Amino acid sequence: MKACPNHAIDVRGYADFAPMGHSVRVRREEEKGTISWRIKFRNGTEKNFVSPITTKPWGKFIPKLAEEDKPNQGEITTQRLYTEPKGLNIDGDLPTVSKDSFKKGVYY
Amino acid sequence: MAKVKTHVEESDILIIGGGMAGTGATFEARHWGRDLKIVCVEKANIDRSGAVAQGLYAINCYMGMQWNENQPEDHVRYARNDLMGMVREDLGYDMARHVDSTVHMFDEWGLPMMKNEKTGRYLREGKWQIMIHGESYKPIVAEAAKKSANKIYNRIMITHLLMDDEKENRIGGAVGFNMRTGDYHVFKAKAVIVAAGGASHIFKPRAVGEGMGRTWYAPWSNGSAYALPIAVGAKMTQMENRIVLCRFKDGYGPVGAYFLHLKTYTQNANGENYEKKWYDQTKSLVGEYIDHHPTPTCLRNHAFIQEVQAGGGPIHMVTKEAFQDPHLETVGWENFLGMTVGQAVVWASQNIDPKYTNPELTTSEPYVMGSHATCSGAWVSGPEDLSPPEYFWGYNRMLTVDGLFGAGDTVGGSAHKFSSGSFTEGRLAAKAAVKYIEDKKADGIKVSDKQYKDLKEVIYKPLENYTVGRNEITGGTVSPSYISPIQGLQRLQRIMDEYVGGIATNYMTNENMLNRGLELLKWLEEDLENVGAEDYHQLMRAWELKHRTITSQCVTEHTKFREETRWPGYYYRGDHLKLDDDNWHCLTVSRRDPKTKKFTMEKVPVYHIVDEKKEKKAS
Ligand SMILES: Cc1cc2nc3c(=O)[nH]c(=O)nc-3n(C[C@H](O)[C@H](O)[C@H](O)COP(=O)(O)OP(=O)(O)OC[C@H]3O[C@@H](n4cnc5c(N)ncnc54)[C@H](O)[C@@H]3O)c2cc1C
Repeated sequence: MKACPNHAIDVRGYADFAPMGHSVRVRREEEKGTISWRIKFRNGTEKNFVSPITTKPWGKFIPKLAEEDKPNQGEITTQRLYTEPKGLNIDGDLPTVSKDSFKKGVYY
Repeated sequence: MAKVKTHVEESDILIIGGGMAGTGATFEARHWGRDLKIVCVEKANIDRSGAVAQGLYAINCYMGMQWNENQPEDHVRYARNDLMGMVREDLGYDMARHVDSTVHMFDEWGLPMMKNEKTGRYLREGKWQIMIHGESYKPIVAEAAKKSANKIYNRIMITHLLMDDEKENRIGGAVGFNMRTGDYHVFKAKAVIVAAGGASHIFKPRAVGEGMGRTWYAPWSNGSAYALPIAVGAKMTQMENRIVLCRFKDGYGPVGAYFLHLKTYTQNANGENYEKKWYDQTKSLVGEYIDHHPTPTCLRNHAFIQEVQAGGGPIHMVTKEAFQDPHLETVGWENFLGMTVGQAVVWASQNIDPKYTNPELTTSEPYVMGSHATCSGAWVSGPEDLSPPEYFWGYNRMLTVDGLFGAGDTVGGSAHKFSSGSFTEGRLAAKAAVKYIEDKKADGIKVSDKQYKDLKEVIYKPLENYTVGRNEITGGTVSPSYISPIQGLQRLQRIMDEYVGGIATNYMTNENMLNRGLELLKWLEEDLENVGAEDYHQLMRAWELKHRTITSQCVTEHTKFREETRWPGYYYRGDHLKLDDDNWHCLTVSRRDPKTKKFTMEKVPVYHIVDEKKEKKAS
């Protein structure tokens, strides 16, 4: 592994199964929201790829729950989690199963 | 040792491990416990820790209830079919009904989700999986945990749980050390959530040189999730259900996107579909389970293993067709770059361009985990509305120790959670932990100074073993009185490999081998009193090894208890080669007595909470 001052990182494969002469280089840029890769084969073939790493300014859309509305009284005894049931985007409440239908043992 | 500083921190909820489940727990704990003190302790650095450190290319568990793509009962049918009938359906259903709200949050937080251009929905890789550009999945969820916790400690490895000195079987916190400073950390807490990931490197890996770090499951997953609860007498379930994965050779690159999205397929060296060849033989072992759809993961492994043994290898993934499409070629490469870069490295080094060469596949060494196509882990209570009496004792995801909760790989019985389901299970455990505290179940906990001072002696002993033992060395590095952590690890891996169904025996074991394995593990356990650590990093290695060893003992006891071969392709009991529904259509549960260190085993009924109807139609 080799890291350069511009935060690009070069790796070679493990000696027990990777013949030498190849490299995979990566550069991750949080401000741009991308990660770029350059793959060099032992025989010289080269491939390049770029992927997004986020769709939003870094961390800005992650809530600070301590500052949000408090859960309603009594909600702690329900099965709902934060944002639910609204956050499930379904009509009605969380699904459940009646215990009368439970079967013990081999048959299902 | 006198120099080591002790820090004592009091909190309400302590989360051990800041991976997918731990970040989910830390986040949700803040929502329900606004004024509680929430502390998360992580062995590495939560920005890049756990199995998702390198990122992921898919979220493997998403229902899509909003579009009626799947409902929770479909997931129950899927997971139980894949695990040959043996899951905790209450836990699976519970995770599945909540997982969509987790995924919708990830989308909002900025995780790049691929969309189906025609429908605008999340792009499906398969029935359960949706595709993401997830190189930064972990830093994104870590951010959510950082915003929620009072404090996150990085670089602290938890070695032991603390128990209440007043009330029996009640949790009191945990202790560990900082592997950079060496400081001793005592965390007193009212509730503890263990979210410390699975276990790799308990069986000998295929690569034993420099590449020993290239296992499929994260090499730093060291079984703390199991060892911590086992050591205080918590019950465990299905620990025999280790997993073997069919993966690309050497780099262990995952195959999900290849099978499901790229529609690549496997063949033997002669270009034949070998799975068909083994149908009758498999049927003679497991009966009608081979006719289930989709074919259970272990049975597909079984055909692979049989074919290689019969001389039909190597097995290849046929990529040459799919990779002619430039878009699919990009997907094929990026799948590894943002998740398992080691596979791209292997292909580059061996001149494997899947457009022109069909890459080789292999089956991995076994791993122990609770979140994948396997469900080893702690025996926990389910939710009140879904759990039969045997599965419910007050608080969702609470272990059989009061106030001790689990999530993710820690929890047994709930397979196919993956990253999103593990995060979700962390949320469930956190809400239940808050309720446990609100219900005043944690009042009056006392943890004496003696308890944690005694543990301090135990934790730092490997440093002392080294300092004293090295005085006996007159030349070289070998001491007659201590072994190093790596030497102990290699011994453990050989025992597990040769006696408990690793690659050396093609995953075969039997009662005699298991008994011998247990004897050798016992001696290893004794010898680990003499493990020597030359610095704090090696001290971490020593404790990782001790945790792996307890986990391995539990796996071996369970494997011995279940007298059938439930999952051919994961392991074989040569003395009971057939699946035996008459005697073993049940869950196995163990408990290790903390005083005697002896395991006791029991069978617990499996409850099927949804019927089979739709499953048959859906093939
Ligand atoms: C190669 C690979 C590919 C995968 N692909 C997918 C995929 O495509 N889609 C998907 O959804 N899932 C995928 N998974 C599965 C997913 O990563 C896991 O299901 C999930 O990470 C489990 O969550 P967890 O919190 O239980 O464990 P982890 O996320 O592993 O977290 C455990 C945490 O505990 C910490 N820890 C351990 N011991 C201690 C200790 N003693 N003290 C303090 N901290 C400790 C660890 O450092 C780690 O941060 C993949 C996994 C791997 C390895």
